[in-house]
Amino acid sequence: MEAANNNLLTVENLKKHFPIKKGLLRRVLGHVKAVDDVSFKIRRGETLGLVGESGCGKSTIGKLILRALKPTAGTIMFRVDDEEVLIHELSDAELRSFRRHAQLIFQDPYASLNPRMTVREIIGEPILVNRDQQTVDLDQRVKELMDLVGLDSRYLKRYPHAFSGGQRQRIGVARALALNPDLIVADEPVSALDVSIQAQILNLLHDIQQDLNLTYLFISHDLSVVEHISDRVAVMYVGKLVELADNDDIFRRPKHPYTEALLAAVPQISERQKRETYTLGGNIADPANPPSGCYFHPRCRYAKEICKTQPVVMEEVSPRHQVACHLARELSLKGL
Amino acid sequence: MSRIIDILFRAKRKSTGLEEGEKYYVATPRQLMWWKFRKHRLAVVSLYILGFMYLIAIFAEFVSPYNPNERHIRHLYAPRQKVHWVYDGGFHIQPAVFTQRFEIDPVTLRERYYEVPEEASPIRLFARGDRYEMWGLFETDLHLFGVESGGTIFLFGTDRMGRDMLSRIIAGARISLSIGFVGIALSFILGLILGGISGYFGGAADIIIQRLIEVMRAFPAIPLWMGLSAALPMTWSPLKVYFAITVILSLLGWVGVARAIRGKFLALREEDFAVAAYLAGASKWRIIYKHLLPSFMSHIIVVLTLAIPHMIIAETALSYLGLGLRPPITSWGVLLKETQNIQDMAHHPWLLLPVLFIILVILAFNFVGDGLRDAADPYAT
Repeated sequence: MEAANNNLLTVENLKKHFPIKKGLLRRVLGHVKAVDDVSFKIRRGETLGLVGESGCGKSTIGKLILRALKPTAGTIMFRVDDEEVLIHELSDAELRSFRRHAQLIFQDPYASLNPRMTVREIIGEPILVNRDQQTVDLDQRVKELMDLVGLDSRYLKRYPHAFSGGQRQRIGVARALALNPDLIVADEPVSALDVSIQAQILNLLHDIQQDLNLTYLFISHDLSVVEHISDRVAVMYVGKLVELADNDDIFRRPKHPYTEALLAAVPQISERQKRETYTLGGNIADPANPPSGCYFHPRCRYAKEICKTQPVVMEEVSPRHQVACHLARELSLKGL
Repeated sequence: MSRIIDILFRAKRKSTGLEEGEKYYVATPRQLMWWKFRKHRLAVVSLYILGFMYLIAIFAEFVSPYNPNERHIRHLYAPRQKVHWVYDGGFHIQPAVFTQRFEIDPVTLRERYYEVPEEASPIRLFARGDRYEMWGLFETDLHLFGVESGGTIFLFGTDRMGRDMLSRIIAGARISLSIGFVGIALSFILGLILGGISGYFGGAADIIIQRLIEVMRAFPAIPLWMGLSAALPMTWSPLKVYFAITVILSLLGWVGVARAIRGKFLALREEDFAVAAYLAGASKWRIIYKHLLPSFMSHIIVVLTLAIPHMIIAETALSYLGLGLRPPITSWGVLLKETQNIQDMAHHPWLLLPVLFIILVILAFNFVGDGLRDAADPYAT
């Protein structure tokens, strides 16, 4: 077993419930369980891919870790210089000094850059607002960051409208790196880009991870992207994790019917291996009113009686492979 | 040969194109907006017209040939004096006006003015005339134009008391054009504070302010204005009345501004770039003044520009009804109050000239507002 302190981030029983309010008096009618009892760990230097359909709560997990949202319950522990920081209970003032350790890369490279600021101001902003000790020359640091992400540092004074989507995303990456963070939450960082540009940004993320010993939480709905960049992968369905394993195990030896269904839906160009493709029927469950038992049972083609009544919990069915399925040990599912 | 020219021309165009590109890439938001605004021809023309009108309003005493309150008792209800280039038996570069004489028509017994071409008074630039105090700073008698003493120049005619209409319209411009700005400034301050609180902080404050706005919007505007302005003491000085009227007008005006600002705050607060600043550790105030305010300022300017004509119209309407400004203050509404009966309109149509200026200003503001709206978000695709 690895040493416990190798974990950069430990998330335990994390919950985020959004109240549904109605009427003049704002009465609470119920809760949307966007994230419901999620636990996982991320080791220093690794990339954890987080996949799931849209609306399953994967972005909410990212926001909770960065404390853009306050969790309803659960603990988030972050290791800073051999000390555990409990992110979930930081005060506003403590948060501001913690922010340098974890940063976000946004999905939309257009919305995430203020069009009224120059590249210098955008990349320099985190440095500027965190300048507690006399830091190096701001221009110099911004130029370094631009070099690092493959932008011509002569473009310092340009505004975002001068750049293409891929270049803008590089600016976003540079901004996230400005404070030398340990963890980067990448929330669908390539989904808004052309496929040809996606590879460039993924390679950039991979390279800077090597150079700067970064840890990624990589959120995506695109399995081929996740397969490309992740060391381990967590699969999420309606606010809960359903499977968590090493990259290879998830893609070759899935243990959860939902993972299998996601993999079956991945388009394949080569005809080398004929594999069965099938499309998942039905709609993603309503997180305000989830089904009984296993949330996935109405769409699951292996569902049995037990699935409708008994809630499921994550279990380790083989080393480093956790699954939340009653039938995990019985089924033999197909991977890619 | 033509091919060579073509190639040379294209090469030249290409090189300037590159420079243009770089110029575009480093263009500030304001430059982009100006470039976009310039494409709206009507708006640019309107902007010049407004600039011209405000210039006249600022230099009112100097531009107008007479003191707006001076009565020329020999020239009551005098019609417009025409400008002539042909007089004294020939063409002159320097135009002139002819002396007006007054007679009673022997048949209808109506007073009638006629021009005497033999008595031409050339129009002089920078003529000496009535003494006045410029902006309370210095006294002078220099006017932009005028005629030698002895002659008269009533280019827009005179009113019931023999006061020069052109001078009165110019004096009225100062009041009517400024009341829009003063009123808008008050509306803007109220709207920014209340709309900002409502939009950025939300919660109970938001609910209270929104209900207040709904109540304000449900009020019928004209009766409210009438009631409030009727309540102003008659003994107040004209200046006090002027400010009281602007306050009354902006009392309802802030509502629209507050709504617009709240909406922008709500939308922009959730924008990725604002979240990015927050996650980078930027303070609330830095996010507001560095990210949110610059993003919606242009939209607010549009709202304000389009609100100014409403203010001007409201002042005119109130004054016309005798509930707004009162003489001796001269505003366009006060001038129109003189034309409330059919005789005036039939016999002295020049008294309606202020209407032309009101229409011109309102249209110009609306066109400028349109142009600004198109230019307000230069990043929209």
